[in-house]
Amino acid sequence: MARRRLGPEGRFLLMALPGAIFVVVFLLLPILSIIVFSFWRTESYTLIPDWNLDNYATLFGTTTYMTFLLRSFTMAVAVSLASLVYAWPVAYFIAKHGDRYRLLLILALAAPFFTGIILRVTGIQGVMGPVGVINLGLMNYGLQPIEFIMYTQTAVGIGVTYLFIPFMVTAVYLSLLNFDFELLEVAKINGAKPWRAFIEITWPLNWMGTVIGLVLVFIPSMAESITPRFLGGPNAASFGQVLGLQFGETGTWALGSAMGVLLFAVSSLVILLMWRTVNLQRSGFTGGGS
Amino acid sequence: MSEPVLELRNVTKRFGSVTAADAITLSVNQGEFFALLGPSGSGKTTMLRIIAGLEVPDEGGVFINGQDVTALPPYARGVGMVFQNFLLFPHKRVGENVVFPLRMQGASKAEQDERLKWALDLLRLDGLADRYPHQLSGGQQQRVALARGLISRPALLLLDEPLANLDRELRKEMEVEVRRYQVELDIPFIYVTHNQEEALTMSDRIAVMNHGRFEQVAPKLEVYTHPTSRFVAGFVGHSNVMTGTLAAIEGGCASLDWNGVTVAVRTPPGASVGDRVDCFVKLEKMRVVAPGGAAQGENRVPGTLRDIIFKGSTADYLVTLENGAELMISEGSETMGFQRKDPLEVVWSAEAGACFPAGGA
Ligand SMILES: Nc1ncnc2c1ncn2[C@@H]1O[C@H](COP(=O)(O)OP(=O)(O)OP(=O)(O)O)[C@@H](O)[C@H]1O
Ligand SMILES: [Mg+2]
Repeated sequence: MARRRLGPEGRFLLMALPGAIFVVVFLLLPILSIIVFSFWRTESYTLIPDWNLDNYATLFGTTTYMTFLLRSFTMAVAVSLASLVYAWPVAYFIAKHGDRYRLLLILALAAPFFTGIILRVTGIQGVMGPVGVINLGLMNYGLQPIEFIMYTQTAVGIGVTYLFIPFMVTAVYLSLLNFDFELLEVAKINGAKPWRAFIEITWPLNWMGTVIGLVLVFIPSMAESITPRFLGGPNAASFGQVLGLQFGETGTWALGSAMGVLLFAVSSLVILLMWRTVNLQRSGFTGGGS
Repeated sequence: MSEPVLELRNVTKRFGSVTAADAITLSVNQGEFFALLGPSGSGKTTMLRIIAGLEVPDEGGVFINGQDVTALPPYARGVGMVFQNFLLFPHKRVGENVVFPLRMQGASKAEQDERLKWALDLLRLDGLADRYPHQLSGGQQQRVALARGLISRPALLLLDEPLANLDRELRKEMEVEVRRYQVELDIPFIYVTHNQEEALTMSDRIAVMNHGRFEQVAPKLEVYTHPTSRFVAGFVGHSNVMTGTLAAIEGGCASLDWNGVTVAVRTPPGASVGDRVDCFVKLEKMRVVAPGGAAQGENRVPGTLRDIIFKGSTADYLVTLENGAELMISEGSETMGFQRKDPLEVVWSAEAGACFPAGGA
């Protein structure tokens, strides 16, 4: 009996299958179900397939929900920008001067991940809190403790930035690994001062990596619920936190689903807008013909 | 005589235990095509990087048009540079790549446009201004790199093996082109290569480098015909090397005992009888003739023809001598009808040989 051999299509399918299954099971199905649930309603902790738009009416009609959304959005923007400013020099330094310690340095940046999110957040508390390291230190030298940090938006911002900055560093670092630093020498010989060479050459050629980093920080920051719970005061509740409540205490899953859909929509929009700033030619991406 | 455009005074650069530039002193004049020729790792690129300001010398000074630029950063030196791997900015179109130096100088838009047109014309790049570098062929990319190096009227242009990545045909063509630009612009080109043909074809003067030092700096013909060191004699051109002992010296003439064959040579400076010397004779400075045939030269050594390597316009004759040694002689390919194993004689003049104290063991 002749063994049947796979044609090119067959082999292609076989290779594409695992990825496709992953996307369908872990991405498309959950999103689809959430979209469906968001048009249902909940009654005493049970979802009832009774198609309506009430959840969205509640969401858009209640100022507090919109406040939470706006707060989280602003927070995510601020956090993305802060990590951008912080991560670039770090990534640049590692890529340029890290030599054979590069990998180690990147791993060191990711080290806090090893401890899990709760420990990381409470760790921050230990540093910045009313009786945290910083304030203890200040008081030790007879100085006023900083009171405004803990349990404020600022505290949440710092915490979330700290949480997701490794994404940004890694994205920019990977981009810089593919960057030909010799181009900077060329720019300098051709009359560009260092900052000018950065703007003309380094920045545009690493813009795609930077965008990826921004998105990787923005999306989870926007949805963050744990950091605000620990570090934010009563006035710093985030959209993600309130979303979590719908699936927990209040048990209003349909409304929670609608919030999830809204979050997903906002995030997708942001990704889309960011991606539109990437011009493959202008990023020095040379794979794509004319 | 006018001031040299470029002057290096006693420039030294070390990388750890490697001395990449060893007390280099040099001046290059207006309109000169100067080639830096040397094997890999001899310090050619380092020399260019020092001139460009990408590397700061440990000792010595760099002067451009009489001004000490040793401490100036690259962007303040007004020097153009072209690289082996082109190094075009991949995210900029050809036009943007080429005007980049002018933009950095803050030239007016009108001037940029005018110069861009000039540069694209000069390098025959018309119609390509809107392409991206990856949409160009290697030769076109190299011409864009040249245009970028030339557009801002640099005081001098540095070229680091600019043709090494091109195929042979294109390289031959570009050699002529590059020389043409240089003549047209009348600025000095400092051209790094490890390809001696390239250096001999294009340049006015050649510096032969080895281990961070200049072995010889001279007009190209002189480097070719009168090498002043053993290294240069071996590196430039193709030579037969005869190693032997000096048997007798009579003024400018000496006789060399080369494995039992006595060879007339020019007396190497400072040599005395009994010294071991290497005598280099270029392949084309020797003749092959039938035994007793007519030819000029003090040296006439019998041998047998082992093989003929046909090269087109020339042919290399491999001749085995009676002492077992083998000589290679380059002759016009249309001459004589020798067959393998034919007895013949190799003839050359004492003048053609360059002798140096024997190197190595
Ligand atoms: N940045 C550096 N760090 C350490 N050593 C270096 C550095 N740059 C050059 N060298 C050393 O200096 C010597 C000269 O190098 P250079 O690049 O100038 O040679 P080259 O003549 O251009 O060679 P090639 O023909 O291979 O390009 C080499 O031994 C090289 O290893
Ligand atoms: Mg080199």
